[in-house]
Amino acid sequence: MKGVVFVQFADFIEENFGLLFWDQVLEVVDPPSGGAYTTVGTYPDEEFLSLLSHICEVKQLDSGDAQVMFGRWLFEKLHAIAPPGNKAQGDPFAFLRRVQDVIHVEVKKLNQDAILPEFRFISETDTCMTMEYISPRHLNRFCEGLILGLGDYMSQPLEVVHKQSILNGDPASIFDVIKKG
Amino acid sequence: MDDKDALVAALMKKLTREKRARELAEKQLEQYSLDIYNTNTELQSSLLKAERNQTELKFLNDISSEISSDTSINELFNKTLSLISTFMESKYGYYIHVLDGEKKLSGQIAPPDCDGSHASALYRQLSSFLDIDVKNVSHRWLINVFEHEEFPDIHWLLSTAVSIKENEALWLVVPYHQDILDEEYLYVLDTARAQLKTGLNRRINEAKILTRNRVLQETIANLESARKQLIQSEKMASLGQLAAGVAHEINNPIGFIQSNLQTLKEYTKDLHTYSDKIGSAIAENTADDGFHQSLKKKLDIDYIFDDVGDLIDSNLQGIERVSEIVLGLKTFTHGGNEKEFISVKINEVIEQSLKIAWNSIKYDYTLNNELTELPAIQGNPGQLQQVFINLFVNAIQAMPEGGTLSITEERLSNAFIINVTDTGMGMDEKTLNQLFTPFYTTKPVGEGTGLGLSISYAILEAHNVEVNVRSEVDKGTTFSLKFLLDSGA
Repeated sequence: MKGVVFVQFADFIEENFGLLFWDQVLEVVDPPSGGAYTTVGTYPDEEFLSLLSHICEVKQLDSGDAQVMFGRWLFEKLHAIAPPGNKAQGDPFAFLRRVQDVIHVEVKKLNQDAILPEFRFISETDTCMTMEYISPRHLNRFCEGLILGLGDYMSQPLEVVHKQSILNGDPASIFDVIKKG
Repeated sequence: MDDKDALVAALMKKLTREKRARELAEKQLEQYSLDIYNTNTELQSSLLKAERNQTELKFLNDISSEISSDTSINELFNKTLSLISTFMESKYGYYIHVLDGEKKLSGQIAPPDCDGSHASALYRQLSSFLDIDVKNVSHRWLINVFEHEEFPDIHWLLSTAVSIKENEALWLVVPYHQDILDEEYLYVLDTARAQLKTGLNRRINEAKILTRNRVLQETIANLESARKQLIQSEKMASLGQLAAGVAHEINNPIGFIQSNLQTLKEYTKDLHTYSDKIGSAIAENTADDGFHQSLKKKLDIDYIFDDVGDLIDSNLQGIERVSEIVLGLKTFTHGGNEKEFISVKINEVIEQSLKIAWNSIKYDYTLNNELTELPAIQGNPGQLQQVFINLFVNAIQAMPEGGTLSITEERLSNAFIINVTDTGMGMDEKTLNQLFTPFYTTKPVGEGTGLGLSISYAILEAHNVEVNVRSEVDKGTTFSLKFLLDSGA
């Protein structure tokens, strides 16, 4: 997983639970990197998952809900560092398509080893887009958080309904993204 | 206080982590820089390689253009030498023609500032250094290390050769100035050599084809002249056959002319007597009408006067007949230029031909000439006469027991057909098939040449006349000649 996620995750935990808590988390989990994350580095997925699972345990949070919270918070940060021309504007559905068709392609050019999720768009109306989320990481809820963050940024409240999930034994992970209000 | 200490401790640890992260980031940055540097170096080397490939391609392309051009072998080798010298950045280059062990410098490249003596000295050196010979032709480039105090800037000699014949080869020698010779250049040069060989073979083959073409043209000219001679010989042979008949034909009028002249001589004697007797009677004064009438009656003078006119008319006709035959023979034997076609009245040609063949026809055969006035055609009258005489003589020879020779016509919109028909023995299919084959004859040895009809056929073909033959054994044969009106022949 790219370093930027870890750096932002550290900020997110510090912002919500304080420096002392983050320090204690690192103390207990003792990740191989020692928590010295840089945006230019790449770190094992397990490191993120063990940090997340420890935090949920201590704070008595649902892991899925925590992923949604972090994703929703992270969207704006990631968006801020995105190169010009790839900013979210207009329709959120159009931006989601752009993520799959342009942004992921560009990321792949720069980082050939990057593991990126794939979106397959099944249907789209003015208010509802049905899409399949394909990723070996199965971070379905984290993806939901990022989509909600997109809605926040564009002032278009969105809801994500998990119609099917590989995590629940379904053959695929399929979301309905619904425009609210 | 504990909280503060804890916070300070956490901050200190955070600082340590941040420091560590910065170090990691810097390291990563250094790695990136190195990667970028390496990538740049690779790019530069790729660019150099691409540039070199471009030069190589241009070189091969230039060679190809030369190969496919129409230049002579000499020009091709001189051009190629110049291209190779430029490509190898060499100041010199030599093109050597080897024939029967003799070397001849056929082209050289020398620096513009060189007065020629330097290049010649180098040639002497390298020609004693290299084994330039027809036996030593390899299908690749030969590389020799070259060290000579007079030419310190030359380190290698590159040479190659292509064979033209067993005893003939063309060599190219290019001195190379760099210390190290890149193997890749040799691949390119080998490709160039292969192209050169192809170009040389093409030129050699073209030269061979040209020679063959010339020989063929000479053969055609010889054949053409032989054909002309053959036509003339055949004409003479036909003439020989006809000579006896013609002699008889001429003999006839000459016979009656002679007899008439004899009679006229007798008449002259009588007239002399008549004149003398009247003269004497007048001198003796005994001349009177009674005497005159009695003398006239006695010498048959009235009859003589009547007959003299008839005899002279008959002689004139006889002489006319002879000169017509002679005229016909002259047209027939006249060689002329067969390509010269003039306007020909085919009726006249047939009349002339019949006159020549008449002696053979008149006794035992019936002539049925149904021709009306036919349109003039373009042709050679002598040759056409030869054809018709040949047809008539053949027709007669096909009817040894006598029969009818018919000449009829058919009119078409753009042509007319002349049919020459006999009522003779006819021909079987085998003979029909061989009819126009040269030297094929059904006549006994020594009688026919077997050329008559084949030559007639050639003549008719040159006149654009279609020939058609129908024959039935014991019924007769018809030769149909179709003359096109707009043939322009």
